[in-house]
Amino acid sequence: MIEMTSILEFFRQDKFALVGAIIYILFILVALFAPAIAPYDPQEMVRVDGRIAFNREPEKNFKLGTTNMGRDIFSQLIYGARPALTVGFTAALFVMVVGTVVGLVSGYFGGKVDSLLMRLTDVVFGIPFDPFVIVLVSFLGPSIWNIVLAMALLLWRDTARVIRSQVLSIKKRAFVEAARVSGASHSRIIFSYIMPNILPLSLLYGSLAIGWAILTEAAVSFLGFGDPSSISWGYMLHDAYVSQALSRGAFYWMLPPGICIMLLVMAGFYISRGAEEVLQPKLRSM
Amino acid sequence: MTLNWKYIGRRFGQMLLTLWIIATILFFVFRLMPGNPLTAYIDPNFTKEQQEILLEQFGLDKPLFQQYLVFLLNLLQGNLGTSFVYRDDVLRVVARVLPNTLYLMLFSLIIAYVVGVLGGILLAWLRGKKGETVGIILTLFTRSAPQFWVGMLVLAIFSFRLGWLPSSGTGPAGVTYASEWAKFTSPVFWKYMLLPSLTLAIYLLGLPLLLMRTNMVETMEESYVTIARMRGLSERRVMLKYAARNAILPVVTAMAVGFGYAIGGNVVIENVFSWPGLGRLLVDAVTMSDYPLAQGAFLLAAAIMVFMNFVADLLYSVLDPRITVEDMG
Amino acid sequence: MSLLDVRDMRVYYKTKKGIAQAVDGVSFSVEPGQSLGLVGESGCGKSTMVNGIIRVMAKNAFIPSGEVLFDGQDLTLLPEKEMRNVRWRDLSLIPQAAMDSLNPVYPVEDAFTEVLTLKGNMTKKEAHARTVELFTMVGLDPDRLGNFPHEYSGGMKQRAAIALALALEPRLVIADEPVTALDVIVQRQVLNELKRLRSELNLALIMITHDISVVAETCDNIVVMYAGKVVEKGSTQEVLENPLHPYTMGLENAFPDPRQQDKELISIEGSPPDLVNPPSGCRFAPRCPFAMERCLAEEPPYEEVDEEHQHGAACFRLSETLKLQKLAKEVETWQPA
Ligand SMILES: Nc1ncnc2c1ncn2[C@@H]1O[C@H](COP(=O)(O)OP(=O)(O)OP(=O)(O)O)[C@@H](O)[C@H]1O
Ligand code: SF4
Ligand SMILES: [Mg+2]
Repeated sequence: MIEMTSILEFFRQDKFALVGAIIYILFILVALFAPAIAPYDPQEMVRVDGRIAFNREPEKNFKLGTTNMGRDIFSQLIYGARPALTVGFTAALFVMVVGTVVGLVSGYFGGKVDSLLMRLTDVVFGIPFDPFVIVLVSFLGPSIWNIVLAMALLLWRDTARVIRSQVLSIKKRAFVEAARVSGASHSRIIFSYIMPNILPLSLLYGSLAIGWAILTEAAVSFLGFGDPSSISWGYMLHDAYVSQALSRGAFYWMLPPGICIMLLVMAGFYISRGAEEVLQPKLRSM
Repeated sequence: MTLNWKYIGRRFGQMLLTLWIIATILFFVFRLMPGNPLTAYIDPNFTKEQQEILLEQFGLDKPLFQQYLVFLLNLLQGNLGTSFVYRDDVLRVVARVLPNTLYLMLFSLIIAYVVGVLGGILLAWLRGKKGETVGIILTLFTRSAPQFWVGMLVLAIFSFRLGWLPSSGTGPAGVTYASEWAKFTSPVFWKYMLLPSLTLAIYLLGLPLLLMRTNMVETMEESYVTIARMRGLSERRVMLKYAARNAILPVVTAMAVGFGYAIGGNVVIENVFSWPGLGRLLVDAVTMSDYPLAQGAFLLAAAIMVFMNFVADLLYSVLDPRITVEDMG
Repeated sequence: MSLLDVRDMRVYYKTKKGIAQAVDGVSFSVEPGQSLGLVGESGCGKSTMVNGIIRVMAKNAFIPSGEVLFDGQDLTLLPEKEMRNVRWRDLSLIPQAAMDSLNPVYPVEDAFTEVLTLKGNMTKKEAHARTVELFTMVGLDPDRLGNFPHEYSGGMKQRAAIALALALEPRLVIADEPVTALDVIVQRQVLNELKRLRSELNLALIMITHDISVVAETCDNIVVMYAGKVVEKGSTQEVLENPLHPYTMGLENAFPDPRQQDKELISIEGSPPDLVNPPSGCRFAPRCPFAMERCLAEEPPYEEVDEEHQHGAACFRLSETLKLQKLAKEVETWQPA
């Protein structure tokens, strides 16, 4: 399987992937040490001289200014890394696992199972994603876990299709045929012959899903269906939008969360295939 | 390029099947989820009479399976129920805003696919040069930036700071268009549509652009391209008629996916720009617990998406003479 | 004056490992109406040579030196625009990849219409008539003009490629392995077709192949290439009956001879050298059973032996030809020491 040295080698050879990995590590560190880095509690309405510091422009005490409720934007930004990464990683994990299993089963066993699963995939492709997340979250309650659930239910579709076609082509190769003829069991063929060959692809789709998940969480929060107990970047932007930050031209409020989202999503693209590969959105099976 | 009616028929059947399954899922989601609509239907604002009419209309007093049949029957007759908020037929409410969504979506898609395909060709042409790297990084920016955030920035700059373009709606406050056609042909309407559609287009641009580029890079290596060059044809002709024409096929299929993004993107963009369309209606309906309306809007969005998938499939089979019925599975 | 006179032509590729000298100082000429066979193992630079002549090359290829005189005009110096006029009008090609030489999304006729109207200045109507004529000429059914390339069989595509190459009645046609991808029966048909057309239309032909028997049947002259260099050339009969270069001898051993049914086939051991770092002396030395010390150090110059047949080779042991020819017939000679 994948060894540590080969991972290191991969990053050494691929500058794009290296940049992506560094961005990720930085954000993970920020998320872990948020309380130490952030000067204030992100929910705290900060008082200066006994009065709440509303709508402050960036200054010494408030590096990125304050919100209309007197909350420190910089601290919110730091804490925002937490929900972003949580949602990103867990959703991507689900997407990867579900997509891989569906694609694998469908491609490997073929026949009725295959047509059933592929029809199911068609159906899932017919469901508009953002509306679905919004409806589900509004029913189940605003929590990042429900956002993750909604993504787990839908986003596996691309992965499943791609993995399936990959499995189909691997299945035809000589070494798999040989294993089958020599009487190897299904589980042996799947785990020792097919899995190693599709793993890179499912990891790739997993890392793309991180970006998707982060963007989705941001959009859902922006629309006001976010988890109010955790300050996410999408939530910050929602806050800015409804508080007339636009008409006031409060770029210090609007810019940082968007940039953070963008960096993290872009890092996912970079890692997932380094340079050339992301740039090749091959919709082989579509 | 003859149309294959057998294939079209089968795909059409599949489309109906998909729609039916989605409607079914939707029915059960709306009936069985916690925060059950039943409680929502019995809104304290309604009189007892109204409640009973509603219960009866949706057959909510009957067993679930019967309710499902009633739902399907109603659906077939185009009856999606009555909106709580608008006190009006859901289909009528939805139909009022649908054109706005379609204009926005189609206009953005056209911009995105035209610019995307041309940009992809250009990047392929620039292969190995500095311009290529710059172009790719720029494209990756458009794919990574949340579209609502781009919308916010665009608004803050072009509407609020510079005052060039209006910030919300489809026209100045108080102005109503005499008809759909009057709206569609009014320059004012297009002025209002410019910012939201450009924002949406920026978001949609990445997929066709990167896809076109990859495919071009591949087809440029094909022997029929090299050989066309050997025939002494001009470089432009070789690039467009040979390389690009073949590279564009998968981009057309990707358009199906593009429509999907467009609908998702629409929801967010419509809310940023207060654009009275399907996406905004859906969000409002969900926020105000107007379940019949939310369900109807969702169903319509799904129907558009499934239909667009269907259209893209057909388009592909017309564009690529090699595709036969067997290939399309 | 020769129709085509290639002088000391070099075509190199820039690769990650360095510069690959794929064609390195090749000279030969073709007279009007004559046919020339260019033979050599896979990878010896035949296609590279052709691409260099017509100047449609891979991105990483370049021509460091050499002249390609076509009708006395040096094609390597021609501006791209004028070169485009030469292509197909004066000089056309039956490509090695004829199987996928046609645009898959247009009917086959489109390629003909395009060439005939744009390069031949015909009207659409004239072009159609001419296409029907060409189709009939190469034995294709004009009813299939409207079909797409994927609806053609391999042999049909090959014939279409031949017809397309003849469309503007060029003076020189280069056929790059025109039959390799076909099965034996179709090969024969296509070759006979080519031969017939050649004598009917009086075209000059360069036939590229690694199959010596194809050349024996179709060509007046022959050029044998090895690792980017000409090792032997001359009239076909002379070269085949009286080979001067050990590589030519080896090639002949490797192909069945219809006149000698019981001939034992012997292959040349080893593979062509790395073109980035070719052997310093004779490029064939590592595989040559007759190699001497000198062969490893110095490069053998090309020497003409028989002026009448313009027959010559690049080998240090030309004086011992008869002895080598005899030895070359022995299986043991070619076995690794
Ligand atoms: N674009 C390229 N970049 C680098 N090396 C190349 C390139 N194209 C060809 N070569 C190398 O140049 C040499 C000559 O290739 P070429 O295609 O001319 O051979 P050929 O004689 O036509 O062979 P074949 O009989 O297989 O067609 C080979 O060693 C090949 O690997
Ligand atoms: S020069 Fe020497 S190595 Fe080269 S072919 Fe002649 S004998 Fe063989
Ligand atoms: Mg070749």
